[in-house]
Amino acid sequence: MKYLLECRGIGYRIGKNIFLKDINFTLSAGQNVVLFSESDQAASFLLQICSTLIKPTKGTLFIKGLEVNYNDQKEFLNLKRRLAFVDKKSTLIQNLSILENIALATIYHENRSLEEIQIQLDPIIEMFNLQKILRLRPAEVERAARRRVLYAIEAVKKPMMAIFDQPENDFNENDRYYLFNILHKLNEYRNCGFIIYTRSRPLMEKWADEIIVLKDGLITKQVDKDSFLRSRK
Amino acid sequence: MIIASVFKKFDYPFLLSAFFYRILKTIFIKAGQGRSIIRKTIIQQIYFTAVEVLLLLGIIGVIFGALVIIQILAQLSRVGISEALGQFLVVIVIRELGPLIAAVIVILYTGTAMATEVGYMTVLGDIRAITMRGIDPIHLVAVPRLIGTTIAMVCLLIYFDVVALLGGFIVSWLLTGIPFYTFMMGVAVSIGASDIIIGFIKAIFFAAIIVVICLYRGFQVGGEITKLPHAISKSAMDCFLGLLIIDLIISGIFYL
Repeated sequence: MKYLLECRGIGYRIGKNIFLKDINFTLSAGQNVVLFSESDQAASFLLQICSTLIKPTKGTLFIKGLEVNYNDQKEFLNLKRRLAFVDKKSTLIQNLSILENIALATIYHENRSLEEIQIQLDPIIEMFNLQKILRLRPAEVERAARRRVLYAIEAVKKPMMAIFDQPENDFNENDRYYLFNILHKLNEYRNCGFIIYTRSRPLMEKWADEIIVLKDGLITKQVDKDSFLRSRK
Repeated sequence: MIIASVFKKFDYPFLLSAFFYRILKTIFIKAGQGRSIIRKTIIQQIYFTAVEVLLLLGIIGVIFGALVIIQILAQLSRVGISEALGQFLVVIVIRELGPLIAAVIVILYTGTAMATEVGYMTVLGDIRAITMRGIDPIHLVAVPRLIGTTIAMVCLLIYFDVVALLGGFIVSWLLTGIPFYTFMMGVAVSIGASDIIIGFIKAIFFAAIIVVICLYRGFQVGGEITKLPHAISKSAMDCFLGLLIIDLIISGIFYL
């Protein structure tokens, strides 16, 4: 069976600091995996490895059954086009407007003008309630709106896999339905696989199929949501 | 170990060459991709490099031409061949100092701005954001800047030469009363097609070296904002040295 993502013996270290030791797990299409870790840093590195942003110092990453080749730039960039990834460090391009930020990948890859693709982007812009800030620069809008734009950019990609690092921090209680809404739509129509690192119990309850517990650089548990939540009451 | 560290001291030109090769390769490999956005950035770059400095460069050109003529006149009046003013202006301005001064203006105005912008882009995560959209930052950031600056540099060189000649004529006319026709005949007799072509060759190489050094330094900033001021000053210094070396090579090849 071809998995969407397969980590085989993944390790990551910086100098003498070992963050990940021997990570093995798989993600199938349509599966929602929630990562639970005591160390934000280790979880963050694992997510960055899964999104191909950083190269593991050990082990192999497979996406759709193919080993990720970090040296083949064309293949590597094509892969990134189909992966959605938002973490704490994700930012918008400062000298582009919000609309240009959302449309950039489509303009570039499809060789179309902004005017041509705006109709195509309208549903996503509406979904994230971005209509009023489209012409503004990132520095001119508040943080919460900027984070919403990041998710909109990833939604435009029509990703095969979405990886989010503590998405609950990007949305306040009132805005949280944006996230659920978009996650639901992505998953419903595109059979997208999700890896979400979160500490939010509501998010786990609503979203997880499986929970992976990361401890001391190793996966110590891979359990279903109910038994995990019961154990942490 | 010692050999490795010695080689490391001298690897900078090779790294720059590799970076330049990567930009050139990207131009051909990704030709046609992201056409509208690349074209827009090229136009912005031309506007920033050429149009915004027109007034400043015009003033500098006129003053420079005037200064050259004043110095030439001071020498030539002793031997009484002030009709040759135009010829000397061609030799000094069009062949040698024109391209160099235009390039120095581009370093000061565009090069440092480019290093700062790209440095900030790496610090603020823009480069990461571009990569995450499946776009090669070299194509989106470096290619249009190289093309735009090269076009702008050639235009600026022509403009600088014209205003320097104009400045030279005004001073010549004020001090010696030389007619415009005589002055321009002197210029026309001395200037050859090769001077113009060599000027363009210099402009193209100067633009390439400025863009490559400034972008390279900018990309090297990484995530550390404290590296940015150093990168900017280093890029300006490296560009100036690079210009002199390239000027020396081109002038040596064509004029010796």
